[in-house]
Order: sequence, then C-alpha cells, then structure tokens
Amino acid sequence: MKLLTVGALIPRKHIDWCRETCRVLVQQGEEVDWLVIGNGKLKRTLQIGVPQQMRFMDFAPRLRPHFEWADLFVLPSEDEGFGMVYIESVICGTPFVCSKGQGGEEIVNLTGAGVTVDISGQPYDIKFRVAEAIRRALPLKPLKPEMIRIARELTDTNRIRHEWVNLVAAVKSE
Amino acid sequence: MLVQQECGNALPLRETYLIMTILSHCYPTESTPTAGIWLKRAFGDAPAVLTCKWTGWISAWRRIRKSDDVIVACWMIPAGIIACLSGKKYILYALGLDCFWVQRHPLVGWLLKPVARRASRITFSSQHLRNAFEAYYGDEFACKSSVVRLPVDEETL
Repeated sequence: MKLLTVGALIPRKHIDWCRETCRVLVQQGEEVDWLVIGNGKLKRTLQIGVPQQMRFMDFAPRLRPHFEWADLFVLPSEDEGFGMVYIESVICGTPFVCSKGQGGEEIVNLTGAGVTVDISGQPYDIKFRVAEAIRRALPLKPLKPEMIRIARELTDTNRIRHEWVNLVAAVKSE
Repeated sequence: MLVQQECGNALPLRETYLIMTILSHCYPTESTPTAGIWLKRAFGDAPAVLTCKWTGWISAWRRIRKSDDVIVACWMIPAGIIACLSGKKYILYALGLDCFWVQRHPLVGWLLKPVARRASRITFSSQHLRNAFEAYYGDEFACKSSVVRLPVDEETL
C-alpha cells in the first residue's frame, strides 16, 4: 500500500503515530511505501528509528502528483480547524484517514471520502487504531466522482470570493 | 515589523470594488511564499494587506485607525485584538488554534470576548471551529457568525 502524509513536523500533527503505525503494518506483513512530506522542529526526532518503508521529503512544489500516487492520505492530527490537506486529497481522488472530532471529520461527513480514527485514550493503542482505519479506508479508492465534486464545490475559489464580497459589502453598508 | 504590501509587491491596491484591509500575522511574501497562502487565495490580489508581526501591533493599530476600509482580522490573536482596539468595523476570521484556545482556556475566552462582541461579523473556516467557539460562548454570537471555507487552488495544487 502506498501511503502519503503531508504536514508540518510538529507535535500536534502526530507524525510519530504514523511512524509507529508503519511499524505495525510492516509487522503484520503489509507491503508499505509511506511518503511523508513536510518540515518542522521534529524532523530529526522523527527520523530516529524510522522504518525503511517510510521516506521523508522536506517540501514538494506540487502536491497533486503525490496525492495521485498514493492509495491513501493519512494524517491523524489534533487541533485541525478545517484540514485543507484532506480536501486537497479528495480533489485529487485519494481517500484519507483523519482524527475523530477534528476538522477532517467534517470533510468525512460532507464527502464520505475518508475514515476517522479515535485518537483519545492510551497513546500505545493509537497505532493499532490508525492501522485499522487505513485498512477500512483503502477500499474507498478510487473515489466516486460525486465525492470529488462535493469537495470541489466546498472550496471553489470563485464562490468563496463571492461570499467575502457579500460579507464586506454588508458590513460596509451597516 | 509591519509590512504593507501594495503595488509593486504583487498585491495591487484599490483596483477593485472590494474595499477592505486584511490584517494578518501570516500572509505570503517573497521570502515566505506559502505562509497563509490560503488567505491570498480567498481574497485575491486586490485588497490592502497589513502583515503584522508580533512587534508591529502599534503600527498596525495606527494604520487601520486612519483607514475607512472594512477590516478583515485573520485570527483573533493578534489581528482581532488590534482591530477591536482600532474602533473600526471589522470581520473576525477565526481560522484554527484561536478557537481551540477559547474553548480550552476560559481566561483566554474571557479576554477575547470583547473582540468577538465588537466584531461586525465572525466567520469560521469550518463548522467544527464554529462549534469549538460556541462551546465556550454559547449562541451569544450565533446571529452574526457564519462559515466561509478556505479555497483550494487546483491550478497550483
């Protein structure tokens, strides 16, 4: 399975859980190729003892080729307000795994293109839950065109600019 | 440091009908082209942008006090506070961690309540954030709050 994670290498993104999940999947006999794109203060720490199936890349000028390459996008982060990267994944036709009760869950509910994972409780168990969520999400690829259409409509630039124009005009006229 | 990005810096000013000033501590510049790129996508190249770093609060406050624009304050801290102190009309755009701080730390919520109360509108980038905000403030600001999502630029994705 080809897995992708994109995010700053900071604690709340929980790339460390991805690393542990990668180990679990490999131990369970899965053939894994996991690419992590991002940079941050945890870069050195995260690369200590990283499985050989996990690769790191500091920066990618374009994300679409990576999303299209991947079978699944995985980011079990905390404090995710909206989770732009999940919707970008859906637009590129790739399902995703995100944390339950975070911004990504809203995208799961709206598009149906992802699976949530409960990140509460014992940190030791989380890697197994993420691994299980990955297995549940993999069959979603290829995404249904309807899912991609919803994601596009939600984040359409012209529509959003129009909303801002209306908001500013309303405030100006008050 | 306060940076006003105008003509010559890829952000032409006052060339559209949209008269507003974006106040943010995070906006794309030549040296940091991806910082806050979603804001640039949302608002386009037209509005004036005040990129207010942590040391530039007073300069930003002085600047927007002289402006007749509607201020769009991106994040409650620091932009929302500056906009609130300016006495001008402003739209508060809550984008992420600010809402979680309000939800988790009652003191922060209490301190930021005037910022929310004085805002003409409060927008959130997701319903999830709106829920986090309302978990602390209840429905006190529900009548002036809405969700305006962040755009995805498929051409550069």
